This record gives sequence, structure tokens and C-alpha cells, in this order.
Amino acid sequence: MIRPGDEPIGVVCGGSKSGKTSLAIAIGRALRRDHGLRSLVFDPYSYKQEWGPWAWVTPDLAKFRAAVAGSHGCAVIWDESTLTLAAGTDDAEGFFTAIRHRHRAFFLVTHDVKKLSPTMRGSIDHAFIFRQTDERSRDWAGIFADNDLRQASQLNQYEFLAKKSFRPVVRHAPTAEELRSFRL
Amino acid sequence: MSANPPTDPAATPPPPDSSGTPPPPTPPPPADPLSAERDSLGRPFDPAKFKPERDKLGRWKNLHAGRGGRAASASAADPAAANFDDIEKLARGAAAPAGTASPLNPSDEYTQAAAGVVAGISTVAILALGAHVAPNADQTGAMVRAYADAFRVYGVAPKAPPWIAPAIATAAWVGPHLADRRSQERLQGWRARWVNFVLWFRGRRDARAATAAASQATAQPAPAP
Repeated sequence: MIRPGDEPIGVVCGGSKSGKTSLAIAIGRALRRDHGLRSLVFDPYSYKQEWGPWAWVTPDLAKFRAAVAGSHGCAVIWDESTLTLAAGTDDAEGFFTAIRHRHRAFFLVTHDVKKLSPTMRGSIDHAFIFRQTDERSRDWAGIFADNDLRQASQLNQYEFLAKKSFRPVVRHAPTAEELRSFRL
Repeated sequence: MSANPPTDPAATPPPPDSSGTPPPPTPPPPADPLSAERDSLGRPFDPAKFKPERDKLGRWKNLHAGRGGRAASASAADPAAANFDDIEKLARGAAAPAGTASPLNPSDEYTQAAAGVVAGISTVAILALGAHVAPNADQTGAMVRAYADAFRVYGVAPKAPPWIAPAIATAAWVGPHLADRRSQERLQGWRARWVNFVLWFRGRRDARAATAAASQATAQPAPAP
């Protein structure tokens, strides 16, 4: 049960073929299994992956926004946000900061944390970081004030660092089977 | 006469490597006393499958309660499906405002190509059938999504040049005018010949039927007074 005030606002960040969407699907599964949450998912390429019967998936951004704005108590996952989230606009920042008050969890999947505005980055309290450049590893270390995140530049494919605010970094290299039983 | 008493060779282990012969094989560990037992169904005990207990019918109890072990552990099992009727209702209310061809992700090249094609097709339909067939925003969005999905599957978008939509629209507007001017008389003459043929054929058929009926009537003998 996610208590009010403990809603995770997270980012799944990494390059192409790193495993971002697979992890996002596992997060949706974990939130359903452990917290009973339905997922609202924006995925422009939803025909490529199976999010599970606990997820409502749309490639239509207008419908996604309407569903998120009109419902409450769900887990919200925004995949492929690099191209579709107009960071820095009032609209996007309002969506990012207000979502905690409507829903129980929000996860953004992106290629580059620098695409998020400083306000958005300041809202993040969970991060799942796949392999990064040296520069972006330093950026992550700065966002969470944790130098252990610099090891993100040495990760292998499908490996990621899990970081929660004020908690130590945990390095994961899950198999597909382990990803199915992934826990937040 | 030997001073040493006879000894049982099996009772004394041979000195290690003293004779160069390999030591005899070590005896197998004592068997699990349960492994020799069978349950009421005649199954031997298998510790990988069963608990060392029997149910009231005398069968071995399954180790994982019949759920298949690790794969069926609670953490890996699929969570329950969810109902999204309320979400679908909300999403349906998010139709694009009238006049926007594509409410979808504008950065998607497949959607852009689909929007162009749908605009061209709509133009053709309006010119051919009238303004009353113009699709509204919902219908346009549905068509765009359907075309975009098909383009994704077949990878059409990269092959569709950007001028294809204006070309379709222009051809739809210019084509009927050209066709109308060039073939109006010939079309009418051809149609007239066809209509005349149909009328002649039907007239001949009716005339033959009437003739046959008349001749049949005259051939019949007059009724007796």
C-alpha cells in the first residue's frame, strides 16, 4: 500500500536497447501485484510490447492526458517521453508536479535526464538508471547528491542502478525471469 | 605354522596404496527409508515432488501444493487483470477539436503520413459524393490511427514521399473536370446506346411473351356451350 505522501515519482533512463521499457513493464506489474494499482500507460509503440491486462495503454497523447486528468489512484507510466514531453512548458511542468496529488505512482521513461526541466528533476525520488555517458553519470550524481551513481557509465547492457532518495544505490542485472518478480 | 590368527579380510581395511591396488568402492549411503515406501496410488516417495507426509487418502502431499514450484511463487505470478471502462470513457471524451486531422503524436512519421493520406481520401470523397460525406474529427482520427497502424506494420511511411497527399488532393479536384470535358459526348452516346439496347431487348422479350400467350389462347378449343 502506497500511503499518501509516499507516492513514487520516478524516471527510467537509458539509451536504446538498454531495457528501459522492459523495466517499465516490470514496474507496472510490481505496482499491480504489490499495491493493487492499475496502470495508465502512454506508449507510442504499444503494438510492440505487452504491458499486461492490468495496464490501459494508448499511443494517443490527448487520450492519455484526459485519462490521467480524469482518474485517480492509478500508476501512471509515460514511455518514450523524450519526443513527446515538451519539457519546460507550463503544461508539462504542471502535469509532472500535480500528478502526485491524483495518482499513486508516476514513472517517466526517457533517454536523457537533461530533457527534463530543473523543476521536473527536482520532483524525482526514484531513478532506474541504465548505462550513461560520463557526463550524464555526473548529472545523476548531482541530482541525488550521491557519487555512487557515477558507476552508471560502467554498466553493461540490461544492467541498471536503482536509486531512491536518501537510500543507497543498488546495482541490478536481472534475468527476464527475475524481472517478472521485480519489486520496487 | 603361522603365528598370526586368521582375520576376516572384509573387516580390516587395506593399507592405503600399500599394494598398488585401488581401494574397494565405498558402500552407498543408507537409503532414505521413505524411498522404499509407496503411497495409496503406488507412487514411490520423491523428495523433489512430495512432502514426507500423507493425506487422509494415503497419498503423498505435494511439495508446492500442486502449483509447480518456483514458477508459481507468489512474486512471479501474473497479477490480476483490471477493468478500464471508466478510463475508456474518459479517453473517448478526449476527441480532437474539429478541423484537426491528427490528434496523435505529431512526431510520429507514420501518423504524419497517415494524416496526409486521409486528407487526400477525404478530399476525393467530398468532390465525388458531396460535402455531406466529409468526416468529422472522430472519424478522421480513427482513420488516421488505422492507416498509421497499417503503415507501421508494412513500413510504408519511409517510402511515402511528402508530396503524395497534395498530389492526391489535386488529382481528385482536377481529374473529374478533365474527364467530364473530354468524354461528355462519348459517354452520353455510349450510355444512350446501352439504354436503347436494354429497352429494345426488354421490348422484344415482352412482345415474344405476349405473342406466345395469344397463340396459346387461340389454339385452345372453345368451351362447350
